[in-house]
Amino acid sequence: MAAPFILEVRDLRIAFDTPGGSVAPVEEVSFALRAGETLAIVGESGCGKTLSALSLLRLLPKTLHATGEIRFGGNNLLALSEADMSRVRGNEIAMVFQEPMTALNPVLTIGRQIAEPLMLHNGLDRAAAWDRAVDMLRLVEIPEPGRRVNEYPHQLSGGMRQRAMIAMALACSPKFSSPTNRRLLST
Amino acid sequence: MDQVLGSTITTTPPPMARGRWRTVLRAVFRHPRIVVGGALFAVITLLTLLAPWLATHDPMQINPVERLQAPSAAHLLGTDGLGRDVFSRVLYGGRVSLFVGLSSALAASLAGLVLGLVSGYVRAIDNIVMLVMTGLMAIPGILLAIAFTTLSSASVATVVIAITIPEVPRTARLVRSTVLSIREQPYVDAAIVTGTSFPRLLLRHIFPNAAAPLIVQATFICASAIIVEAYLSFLGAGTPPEIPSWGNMIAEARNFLRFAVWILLYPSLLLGVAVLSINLLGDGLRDWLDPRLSGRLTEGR
Repeated sequence: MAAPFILEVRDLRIAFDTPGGSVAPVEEVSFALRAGETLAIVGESGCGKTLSALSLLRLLPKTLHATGEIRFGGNNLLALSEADMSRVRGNEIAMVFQEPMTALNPVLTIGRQIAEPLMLHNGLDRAAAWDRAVDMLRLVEIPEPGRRVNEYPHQLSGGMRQRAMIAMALACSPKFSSPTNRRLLST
Repeated sequence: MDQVLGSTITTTPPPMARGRWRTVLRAVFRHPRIVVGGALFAVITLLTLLAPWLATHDPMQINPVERLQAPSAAHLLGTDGLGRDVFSRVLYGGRVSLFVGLSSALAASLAGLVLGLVSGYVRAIDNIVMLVMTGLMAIPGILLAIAFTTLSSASVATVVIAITIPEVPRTARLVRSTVLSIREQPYVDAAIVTGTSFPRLLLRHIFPNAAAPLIVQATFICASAIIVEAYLSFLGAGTPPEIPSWGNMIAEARNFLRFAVWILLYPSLLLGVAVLSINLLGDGLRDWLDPRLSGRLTEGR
């Protein structure tokens, strides 16, 4: 018997209102995922892959409305309150952004950006979170993690930034991560 | 042998804190305006802070017998129309001017920061705050300050408030515009994705990006506040006349301009140098904190 689904998306519809009525770039999307599985969503440019992924974390721009059902850990994510949602984000569902250049805050060190969710979700103190940040950088094979952890995004190469993004997403050991990046495999 | 060789090649990185300070210092010294402005400002601040030890006379002491004396050994910068020692008054007057400048800059930045951060993020508050700010901006700052000091009792605190209020719309708009552009950046989404709460998002992820322009703006507010304090005192709507401030001294000195120029000269000179030093500092900070701009401006070097 197969393991139960950890994520089930049913009849996802993402729409925005125009003067001429509601337009839906994403309609009738359903998929499900078991623990340990990898799901790749493939499609031509502009077919709604990114919108679907963003809707899982309720990160859609305010002008877009998602309807349907996203069941995760017994909850419908589309119906959760903002406070409950922020416990799910990072802690249970992580995300690797497409553009590591713009998805890292230029004025914060890499270490702080990795350590912050650890202090937030896992209750680690500053020193422990920092050590874990160094470990995460080592895990994604960034050379000299002890030095890089103190550096700012502009001091890292593109590949290192991409790895740092992954380290950030994986830091809290989420149940499910939603990479929206095609270049993930090429780095 | 190999191992020994290996260990000599491995370089241990220097302790981070020291390296970072050295980098900061080196960057600061690449911007001569920060060094010159900062040094001038430090000298003036020191002079006013050390006023109790440097002053040769009580700045409030009226001595009609010695009035309008030219600079001499007894009175380094002469005396004013009531026989008060100009040197001592210039030192103590600087305290008022610098206090007004610094606290107005601080108050305007803090108020602008709070209003700007919140209205940049919360649409409903934005409409109300920006309406009030636009209304405030429609009133000339000096008139607003005069009205305020006339309606309330004269004190240094009143002057600070009167100067701060017209500056708040500018800082609030500055912070708001930065927040509006920063909030659309993917790294803000990335921070939300890791579960960052709203206040934390504002203070730790968005604020540091808005800090640099605000610091630069604060230096310019400080310089203009010192000048406005002088205006207001000159017009009799500022610092109470019994307290020496550069503005008060200039206002009183204009009656004696034709035969005792030193009474006017020295407070004006210090006022000018103080404002110049702060503006230089602000210019330098802007070049340093906004690398894109500094690259363009220093390309011709």
